[in-house]
Amino acid sequence: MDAVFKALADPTRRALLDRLLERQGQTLTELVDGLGMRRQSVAKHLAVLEAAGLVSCQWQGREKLHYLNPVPIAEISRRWLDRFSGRRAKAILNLRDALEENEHE
Amino acid sequence: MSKAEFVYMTVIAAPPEQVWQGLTTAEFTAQYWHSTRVRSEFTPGATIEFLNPDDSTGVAGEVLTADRPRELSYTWRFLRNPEAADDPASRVTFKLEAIGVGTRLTVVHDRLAEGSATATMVGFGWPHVIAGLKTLLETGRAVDFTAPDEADCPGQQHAAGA
Repeated sequence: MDAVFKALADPTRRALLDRLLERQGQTLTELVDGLGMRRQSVAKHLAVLEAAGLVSCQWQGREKLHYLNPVPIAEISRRWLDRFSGRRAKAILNLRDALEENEHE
Repeated sequence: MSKAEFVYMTVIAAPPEQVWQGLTTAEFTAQYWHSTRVRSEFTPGATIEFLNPDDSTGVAGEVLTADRPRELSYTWRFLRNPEAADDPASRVTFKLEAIGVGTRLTVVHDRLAEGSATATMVGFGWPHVIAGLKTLLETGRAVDFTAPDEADCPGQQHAAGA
């Protein structure tokens, strides 16, 4: 999870993710185009995103295609959102138990 | 070259056989896959359906590959969503690789028509479904996310307009 936050804490890397959201399956060359950055630095940023699991890859012949992989972000949101839904579920169960007890009394 | 396809990846701390069961058993899918129950014999050529709680069919398709517990693929028609119901069938492929800590799961959704309603919807649905499967298998806890549904998903509207 540290890797995901570190990867996201950089405007260039977020811009790369934005570009993949616009169009999935881009090569490094396509991603370098229009970014105004050197190929090596884009490759380095992509490697950080890949290591964090935010970018997934597929090979098509000799071309490496890059895809946005938002699964780690969904996992992070779940970590905190879930706790609330869990608590709510428990509250509903408690309420139901209380009501049923009242009925028996 | 533009691609109307999605490639998702996650690592799940459970063996491939359990991940396979998570993908192919109604009791499991009901807990993380927008409350739908999968129904199929999981043999090539067999039909596959995802049934909504009211027993209507949410997704329908045909099994293409069923190599337990390594690879599963089927065609996909999104009947649940009126805007997507008439889109041509797309294809979903799950690849399960055993790695040290468990399973690397790759999900590829391709053969999508560019700009189609199906493409937009699956793009926002899969991350939640995959994260839900991971949480379920790793913690045994049901996690039914409120589906990022048609009408009430700001993310989808944003993407559709993008």
